[in-house]
Amino acid sequence: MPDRRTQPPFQVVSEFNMLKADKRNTTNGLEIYTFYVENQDILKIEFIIEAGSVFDKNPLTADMTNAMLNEGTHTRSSAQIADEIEYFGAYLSLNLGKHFAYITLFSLKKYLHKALPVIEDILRNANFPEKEFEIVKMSQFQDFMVSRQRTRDLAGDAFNEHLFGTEHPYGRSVRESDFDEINTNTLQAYHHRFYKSSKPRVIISGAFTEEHINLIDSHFGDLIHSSHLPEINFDFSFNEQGKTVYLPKKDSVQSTIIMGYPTILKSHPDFIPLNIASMILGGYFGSRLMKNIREDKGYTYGIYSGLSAYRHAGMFEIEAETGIDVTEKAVKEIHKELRKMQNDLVQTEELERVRNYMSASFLRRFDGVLAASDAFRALLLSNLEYSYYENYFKILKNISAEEIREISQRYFSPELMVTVIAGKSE
Amino acid sequence: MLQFDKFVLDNGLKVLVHSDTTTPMVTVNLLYDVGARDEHPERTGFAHLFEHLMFGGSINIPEFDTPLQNAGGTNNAFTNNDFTNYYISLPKENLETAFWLESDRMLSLAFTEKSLEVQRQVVIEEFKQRYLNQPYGDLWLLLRPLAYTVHPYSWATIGKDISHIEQATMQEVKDFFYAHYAPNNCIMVVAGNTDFDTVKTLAQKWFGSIESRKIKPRIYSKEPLQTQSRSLHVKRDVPTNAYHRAYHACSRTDIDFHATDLLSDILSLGESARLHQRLVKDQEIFTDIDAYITGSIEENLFVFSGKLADDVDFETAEAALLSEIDTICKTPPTDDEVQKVKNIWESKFVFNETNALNKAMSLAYFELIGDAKDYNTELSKYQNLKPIDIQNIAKKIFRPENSSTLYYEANQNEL
Repeated sequence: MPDRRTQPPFQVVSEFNMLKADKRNTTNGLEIYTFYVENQDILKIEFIIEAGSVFDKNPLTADMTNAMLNEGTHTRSSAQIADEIEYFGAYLSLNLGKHFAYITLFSLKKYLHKALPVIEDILRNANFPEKEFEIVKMSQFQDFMVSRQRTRDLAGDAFNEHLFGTEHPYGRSVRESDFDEINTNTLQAYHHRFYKSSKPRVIISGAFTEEHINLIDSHFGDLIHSSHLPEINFDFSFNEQGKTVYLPKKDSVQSTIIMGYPTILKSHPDFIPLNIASMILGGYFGSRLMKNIREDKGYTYGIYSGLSAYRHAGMFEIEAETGIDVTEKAVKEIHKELRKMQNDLVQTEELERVRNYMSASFLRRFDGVLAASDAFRALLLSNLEYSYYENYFKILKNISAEEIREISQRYFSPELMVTVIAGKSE
Repeated sequence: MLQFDKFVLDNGLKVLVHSDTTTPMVTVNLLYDVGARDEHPERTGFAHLFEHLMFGGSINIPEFDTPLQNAGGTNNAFTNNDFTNYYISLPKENLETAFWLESDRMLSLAFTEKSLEVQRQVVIEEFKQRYLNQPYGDLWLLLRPLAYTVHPYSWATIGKDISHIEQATMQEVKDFFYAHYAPNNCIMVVAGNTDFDTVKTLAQKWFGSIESRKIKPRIYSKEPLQTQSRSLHVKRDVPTNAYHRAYHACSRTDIDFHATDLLSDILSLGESARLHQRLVKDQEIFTDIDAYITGSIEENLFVFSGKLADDVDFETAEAALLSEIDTICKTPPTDDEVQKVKNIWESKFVFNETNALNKAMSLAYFELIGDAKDYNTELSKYQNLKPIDIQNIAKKIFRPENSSTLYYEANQNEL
């Protein structure tokens, strides 16, 4: 009979194979990054363009421009675009972040040449037809109104506003009146400025061939990177330390709690240690917040803490949805856990567990070309090198309980944070 | 082509192995043949509550997650109406930890009162978060009992009502475990950087001594043939009217399944599909319209779900949709439409195989409904279909008396 009481011997991940991008120099000077793997006959091609929501006062402008790229060009109708992409089993996704727009194509290798001309056409020649605009706008407006019924969305928007200010490009949420202020001309102008002449950065993963690279270069390489991005002021002053903001919602059975504040950028030397401290606090299923507030008290289905970083600001946040009747208790327990991080040294057993768990996550981050290309994109868009991951791994292996306490003392004071509670009333 | 090997332990545990040495990880997936359909009608939501308890410690191991995290592993699980699926992913060197953990909780849980009390609360919060505190969150709590009158598919996996979760007792938890959790009611798939002999040795070592159990037979009524259309009209504090119409359709193992699936794709897969093009773009009746099958093992529902455009009433929306349904019943789809959805299926299959967990779950699922080998011929079953097959299925399913309609109306005030 096996010994069921003792865990079988296991190894700690001590190194990982960093699957890196190959940078290709094309005749047209297009930035193409590649991840080659044999036998993966579906190719993923990402086109990344600096056309995010921060570049216009009305965040809907960037959003709708991106969403309507495939709604018509000078030579193709919306229906033709959908047909040409989908007929060959390809899939096109259009996404928008604060700084970048992401146009992602999944296509069978054998049909890539069918989809590329369509992508080129929408990037250069999208023409935002009136009829399609009204349809997309109504659909987005309905989604917006649904989101006004969700405590998670209400709290998230308010949190950003309280961190950066209601008019700041990172704080500005979509408002009902924004829908009245956009029209096809504003979208066309936005497209003209940010898409038409911009040279996309391209990441390709799968069993591509040289022919595919040349094909991409010929379609996108001769776009001229002419326009200068507008100067945007990203300054902000956060003055809401220690405040609690209530957004009551009638008949809500749960509250969303978001607690946090603007903090350091990815390039700051504390960023990685703070990430590790946040992992212990609320970054994984075995975290302190999860163990206390879910697994011991049953106040929530899930609670998380984490750092995120835009180009010009980092954020720390803790987020949970809890029953109306236990919201206050949950907040109290969150405070308790933050204090514990600041006052007590993390025990060796817990620190080793987090070390082991996070070390293995480096294997996952580079497991296959699709994962590795995501890891690379994160570096590329933050102007970081692969040494970031090497450095991260090294810090992870060496960080001490004292350093974690010190970092927590610096960054985890509840007095630094604003608390947004959507759902229950004060 | 997904390569795998299979063996069966004496206690009935089926084990499938798929080797892929390009990854440093290995995935261990255990599918138990128990889902919400196996619940007592007065204890709905129990299979899902039970899934939570599977993480509350087993007979020899007080905590499930901690040792797994030490070994660099992640895990999760889900329950649906048909089955419950657990998976672990960890570095290949630490595969044995997964066998140790999974075999101990198959042997027996710890059955602590604390775990039951806490997970009961967690599941109640999950119920609120996903079904009550969400606009349109109660859709399936309404549509299922409308379409199914006697079959256990009439309740959602989360359960009919929070009170069922509140009333669950420890004795019921134990009875459920011994009636459904057993090697002979489980399919295990190991996929990733490992090999057949390693898995066979580990399976024998950790699972070999667990005795097979008497599985509670499924005794419930088949859903009778629906002979009259049904409808339900509700008003909620949501911004937009939503329309749902469900027809009874065939089971997963029925010869008609693939044509039924393609029928839903012809109607609504992607933006080029006819419902989007005609009802959203041309006629501006809906802002969003989808056709899909529920994907259950026994008799499915073929569902249309749409959000109405502003200023369009239910009557107009329904007439427009019924006209599209009528069209597909009278005229087969074009060759191009059929070729397109076949191409999309080809992409889906290729994409599915880029991920070890997807591969493991696919093999387990196909083994459950028949034979894992069928995964490799599945794509051809779609590719062999002809336009006339799609039309024939449409005629078979889309009979008015076979339908259940939910009018989900937005309250005009309150917003």
